Order: sequence, then C-alpha cells, then structure tokens
Amino acid sequence: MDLIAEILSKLGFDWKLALMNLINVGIIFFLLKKYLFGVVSKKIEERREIIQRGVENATEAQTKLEMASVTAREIIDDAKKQANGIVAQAVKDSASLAESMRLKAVADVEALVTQAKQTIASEKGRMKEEIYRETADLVLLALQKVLGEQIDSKKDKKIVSDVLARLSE
Amino acid sequence: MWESHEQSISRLAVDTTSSQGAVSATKTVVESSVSDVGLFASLGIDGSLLVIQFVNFALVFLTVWFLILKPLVKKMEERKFLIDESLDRAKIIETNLSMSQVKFDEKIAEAQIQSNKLIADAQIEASRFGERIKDDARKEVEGLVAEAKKNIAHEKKIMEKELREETIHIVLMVAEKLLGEKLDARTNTKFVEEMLTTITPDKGSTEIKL
Amino acid sequence: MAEIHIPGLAPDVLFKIGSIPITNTMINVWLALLIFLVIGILIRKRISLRPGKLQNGFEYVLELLLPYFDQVTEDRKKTMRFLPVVGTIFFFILLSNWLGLMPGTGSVTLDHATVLRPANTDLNLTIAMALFSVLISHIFAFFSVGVFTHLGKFVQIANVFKSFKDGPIAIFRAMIEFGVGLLEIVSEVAKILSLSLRLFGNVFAGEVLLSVMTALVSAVIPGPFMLLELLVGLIQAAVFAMLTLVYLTVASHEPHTAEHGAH
Repeated sequence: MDLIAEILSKLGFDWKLALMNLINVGIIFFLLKKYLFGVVSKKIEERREIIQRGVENATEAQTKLEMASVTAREIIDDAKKQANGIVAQAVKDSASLAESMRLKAVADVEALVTQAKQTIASEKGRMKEEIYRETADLVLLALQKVLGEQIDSKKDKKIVSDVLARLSE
Repeated sequence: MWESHEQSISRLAVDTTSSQGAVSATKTVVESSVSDVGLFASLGIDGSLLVIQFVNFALVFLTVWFLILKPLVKKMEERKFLIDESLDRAKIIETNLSMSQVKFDEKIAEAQIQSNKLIADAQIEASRFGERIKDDARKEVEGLVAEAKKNIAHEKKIMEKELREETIHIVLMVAEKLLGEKLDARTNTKFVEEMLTTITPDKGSTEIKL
Repeated sequence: MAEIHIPGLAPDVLFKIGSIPITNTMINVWLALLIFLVIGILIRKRISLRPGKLQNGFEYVLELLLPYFDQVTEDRKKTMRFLPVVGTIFFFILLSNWLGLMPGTGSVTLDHATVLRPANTDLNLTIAMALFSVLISHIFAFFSVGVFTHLGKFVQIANVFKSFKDGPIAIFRAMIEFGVGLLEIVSEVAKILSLSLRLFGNVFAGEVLLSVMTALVSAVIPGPFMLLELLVGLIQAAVFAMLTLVYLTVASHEPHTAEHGAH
C-alpha cells in the first residue's frame, strides 16, 4: 500500500486535493441530477407516455368505429329479419283469412242455392195450384169465344173439374 | 516483481524530474518574453501561444462543425420535427377518440332509423299483401255468388218452361174433353195459340228473390 | 523555435483558501460546473414537451447513449436509475476533456503557473471520480440487495460456518470462497486505481502531445492532433462511464450472480 501511495504521490496525488475534487464531483453530480437528468428524463417519459397513449387511442378509435359498423349492420340485419317475419306473417294471416272467407262464401252460396231451390220448388207448387184453379174458368171462357155459345151447363163444368182433378193427381 | 516495480518507479521519478525541468525551462522562456509583449504579458498571457491556440481551435471547430455538428444538428432538427409531429398527432387522435364515440352513436342511431324504416315498410307491404289476398278472395266469393245466381236463374227458367208446358197440356186436355171431336185441326191450332198468349205467366209474380 | 512547454504531473497551485490549495485543474472543474449550471438552469427553466434547441440537443445525446447503457443493464428501468451517476461522469469527463482544447489552456499564467489546465490531467480528480464511481456502486448495492447481503459478497464468513455440517469438501469450498471474497476487496481497490490511472494517463498524454506539437510546429499541424484528442476525450469519457455502469449493474445483482459476474 505504501508503494502505491508513493507512486501516486509521485504522480501528483494529494489527499487534500483529491478530497476537494471529490466534493466538486459530488456537487456536479447533484447539480446534473437535479437540473438535467431528473427533469429531462421525466419529460422524455411524459412525452413517451403521451405518444404511446396516442397510439393506443388510435387503435381504440379504430376498434370503436369498426364495432359501430358491425353493430349497425347487426341492427339492420335484425330489422330485415323482423321485416321479413312481418311480411311472412301477414301473408300467412291474409291467406288464412281469405281461405276462411272463401269457405264461408262457399257455405253461404250453397245455403243460398238450396234455399233458392226450395223457393223455386214451392213457387212452382203454388203456381201449379193457381193454374189448376184458373185453367177451368179460362178454358170455358176460351171455348165460349171459339164456339160463340154459352157453356155454363152443369154437365160441362163437371167434365172440366174431373179432367183437372185427374191431371193434378 | 518488486524489483521491476522499483525500477519503473525510479524511471518515473527521473521522467518527472526531467519534465519538471522542462517546465522550469518554459517558465524561463515565459519570463523572458514578458518584456516583449507588454500588456498581455503583464496579465500573464502568452500572446503568441494564445493566437496559435485560437487558430488551431478555429480549424478544429470548423472541421468538427462541417463534418460532425452540421449533420448532427440536422438529425436533431429531424428529431424535433418528429416529436412535434407525434405530439400533434397524439392530440388529433385524442380528439378523434372523443369524436369516435359520437360517430359510434351516430352510426347506431342511423342504423336504428334504417331498421325502423325497414320494419315500417314491411308493415305497409304486409298490409298491402293482405289486402290483395283478401281482395282476391272477395272477388272469388263474388264469382261464386254470381255463379250461384246464374244457376238459380237457370233453374227458374227451367221451372217456368215446365210450368208452361204443363199448362198447355192441361188446357189441351180440358178442351179435348169438353169439345170432343167438335173442333177441327185448324181451330184447334188457333185455340192453342190463343191460350198460350193468355196464360203466359206474369213475370213479377213468379220471380224469386235471392 | 519555441521552447517545449510540458506540464508537470502535479497541477500547479494557484492560490490557497485557508489551508485548501486551489489548483489550475480545479479552475477547469469549476468552469465545467459553471457551464453545467447554466445549461441546467436554462433547460430546467424552459423544459417542455416540445423541446427547445438546448433541450432537444441534450435529449438527442441522451437517446444516443441510452441504448448503449441498456446493453449493459439489460433493463431500461435500471438504466434510468443509474443515469444520473453514469451521465454525470460521462458528461463531466467529456466536457473537462474538451475544455482542455480551448484556447487559453497553457497560455494564460498566474504567478508563472498556467491558470487553465485540463481537469483530468490531475490524478487527484481522476482518483476522486473513481472513488465516487466505486463508492456509489456500493451505495446502490446497499439499497438494492441490502447492506449485509452486499458486504457478505466480500466477507463470506457465513458460508464457512454453514459448511461445517456438510463435510470436509464443503469446508474446503467455503474456505476458497472466503479467499475469493477477500480478493474481491482487492479488486475494488484495483478498480479505483485502474479507472483513475487510465483516464489520467490518456488525458495527460494527450495534453503533453498537444503541448509538444504546438511548440514544435505552431499552427495548423496540431489541428489533426486536436481532433484526435476530441475523439480520445469522448472515448475516455465513454470508457469511464461504461465501466461505472458495469460496476453499478454488477453490484446491484444478487450475490450469486455477482460472484459469477466477478469471475
């Protein structure tokens, strides 16, 4: 150690000066730490964070926009499905309504026809009766005109009513 | 080992003394030049050496400036520009992000409107469809009714015809019985025609209401 | 022809404040301190996210240096922790070395002693810095691995006691490790010597070279040598700073890794 000390002293080493210089270095260290490295590295970090956040924000904004597109498309798709459902339901409802209308109409018409047929039949019967009732007088009247004589004897009338009775059977 | 150390130390000592000798020699030189240079020398400045140093320094400075510092300054400018740009962009992006929420809402709202319109359209379409189907059905029903009416009318006509024929038959029979062979073929025919016109049934009385 | 002016190994004492001698190299140290103070105040006053010219320049240099530091520490966080120490050493040595190239060094005298002399041509300063570097590496180690763990790297006595129950081979190994620990103490002293002498030797040699060249051929010719000294100044600053960074990194490792690092 003495040897080293001797060499060092020959090289100009002086512990007082060295101590003085150590203090100087310490001062410079605190000065640089406080005024340069501390503040500047803080600023660099701050800036890095801002830029990093910017990049993240950009990604987020992009994702959000894409998500909006997807969601919008989903909504429209849903609406389309719903719309199709509505139309299909309407068609189904209308078709069934039309079918029931048709069925009812057929039944009505059938009833109508049946009733009409009945009416016709009863009318026919009634007319027939009238014809029978009126034909005797009519025929007599007609014959009177044709023959130019009175046909009102009891015998003639009897003939006529006999014929009618037989016909109406 | 130790010996070599010793030797080197003694050599160093010699070197040091020689260099110190040189220093003292220089000092003498400095002292001798003091009277020549005057003011500078009185301030302890070796004028000629200082000038030489300035020239050398200027040369070195110019070299370093053109070869190293200028490109470095350019790089630093680029860096500054990049930083400014990045910060600006970050700011823009931040605004964009807050706007993206608005855009998102807008897009969703637009989609909602479109979807509502789609549904409304579908409802209109559906009701129109329904109407058409119902119309078709109604027409069909009307057709059926008309057909039925036609059938009934036809039926009625048949009935009228039957009645007419029957009436003629009756009349003929009655007349035949009454007149026996009194009537010839001519009067018979005339009679029949007359009868027919008389007994054609009154339309109003036989019409059937549906 | 001018006399060759070769500076002595020891700095010249210009005057004394009390019993404290003020040397010409110390004037250079203060000059550097003053420059740092001015730069520091200017940067601190105008610090901004969008850097001004000075801040930008400083940041640019820092960003050039940090990747090299990262190669040693392998961790940006550590780099940032060590930056004030290593950065101080780097920038101070660099500025001191380059200040020695300024005109006036060796040509302005006070009482026949040169007023300005490159700071690192003074062994007292280089030893002070080496001491600072080694001491601070130990202080960091105390904080990061603990005082006793760190001291245990040098005085490995605990292993000797532990080895007694593991048999003769373990004892033998523990003794060797104990010896190695003592050698580590020697190596700490060697660090101080090697750091200080290297820097002193290089810068002093450069100063001597420039003095001789200037005396011999005056203007123009010393130019390339000054450029060389610029480079040497940078290299020496980098070497000193990087070695300090290595000491810091190694010292703040856990003992096991530190042993491997030391071998």
